[in-house]
Amino acid sequence: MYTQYRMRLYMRSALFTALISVSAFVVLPIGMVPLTMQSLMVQFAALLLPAPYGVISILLYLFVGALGFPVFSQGRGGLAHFVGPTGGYLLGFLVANGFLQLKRSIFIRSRTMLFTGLFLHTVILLALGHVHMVAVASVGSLKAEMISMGLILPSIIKIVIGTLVLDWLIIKRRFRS
Amino acid sequence: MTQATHLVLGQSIPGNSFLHRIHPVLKILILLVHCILIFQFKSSWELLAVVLAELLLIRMLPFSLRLLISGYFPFLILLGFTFFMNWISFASEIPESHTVTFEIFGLAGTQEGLEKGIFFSLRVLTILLASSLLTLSTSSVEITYALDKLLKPFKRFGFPAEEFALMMSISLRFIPVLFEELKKIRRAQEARGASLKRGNLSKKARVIQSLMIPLLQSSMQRADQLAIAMEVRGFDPQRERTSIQEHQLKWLDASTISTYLLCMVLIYQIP
Repeated sequence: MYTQYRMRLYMRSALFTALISVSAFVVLPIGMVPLTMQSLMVQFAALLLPAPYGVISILLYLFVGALGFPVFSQGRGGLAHFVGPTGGYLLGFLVANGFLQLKRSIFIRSRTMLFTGLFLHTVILLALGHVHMVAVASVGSLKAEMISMGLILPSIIKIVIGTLVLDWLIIKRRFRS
Repeated sequence: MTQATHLVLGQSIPGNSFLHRIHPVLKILILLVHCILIFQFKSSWELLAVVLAELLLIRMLPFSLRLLISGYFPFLILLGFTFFMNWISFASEIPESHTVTFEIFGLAGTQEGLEKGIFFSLRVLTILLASSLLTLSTSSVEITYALDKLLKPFKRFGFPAEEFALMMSISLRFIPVLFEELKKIRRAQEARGASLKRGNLSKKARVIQSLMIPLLQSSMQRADQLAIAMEVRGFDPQRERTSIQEHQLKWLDASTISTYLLCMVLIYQIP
């Protein structure tokens, strides 16, 4: 039996996939590094959509990218990027979102928990990305460390922005779920 | 708003060129294979040949190349960034065999890095052009049809193929729409004084917040409207559906795939 509720969640995950793809191209002029809002959108998908759907939207995103549509960061696409230097982040999206979705009801309880959730998500993402860069993509370990270090400050900014947005949407109940 | 802004990923243009008439399943399969084959190419010249061939094909579609370039402008900025990231690396990490062309503050550009930068940028560009060839010449109805056909074999393993195909094509269809949406919200907030161009970090963070919240709200509203619209029409993804346009493999498709493979082999073989 198909309920309206289920269809709505399908559509919402589909639109979240589109949002993640769009946010990969939108460059925000903060600091020196072109900062995209992609990981932020991924985190929103994990915390705004109910249990399996935050993971489904990431799966969709990876699927669309694997087919060859340039939805990955910096206009990349294709199966080969899963083993490229940024492949760890792609798989990290899946793992980190799975983690947040498992304990979603805890993470959306208060502002502090939101912050903790986003922080853990970022840690998982950066760790997986770094390990992948060194182990699979064989980027030089010094360069990989520099890249990962360079990502820390933007990530903190993103966590703060993410907490503000989710606080408004979830804790202050402005989001119709 | 100019027309150029509408021409981004996911948008299709109607027409009757031979690209439009190829079987949609075949087009997606070719894109998938293309993205794998591209990674077998090891020199920039081969990639350049592919890029030129793709540009030639885009010329056959009824719109100008200038629109495509302005539509992909944000992409090109990111591409430039990729290029510099490859060109310049830390002076201490450069192997002895590389020729250093310049060096500032411990960063150095090498001849090899420059070649690598060109190579990687061309590779991204080929995939970008190939996928835009597909999306420009294929309507979203056809993409849904093709994805549905492609995912059907996985249904046997309990994979929700119909739902997945539907969701994928909807997300592809909504990429340009959400682009527009974000642009509109950005302008609206700029008109209210929330500009990303000025101010310190905390002010910029507030501006980003003021972009994100309306974007999330409006896209979720769109999703709900879509779901309701489907519901009132009695839409059920798991029902067997028929298509108004049944696609059949024709001679055109056979000749397309053979020409494609021939071209790729030729480019690969002629060094």
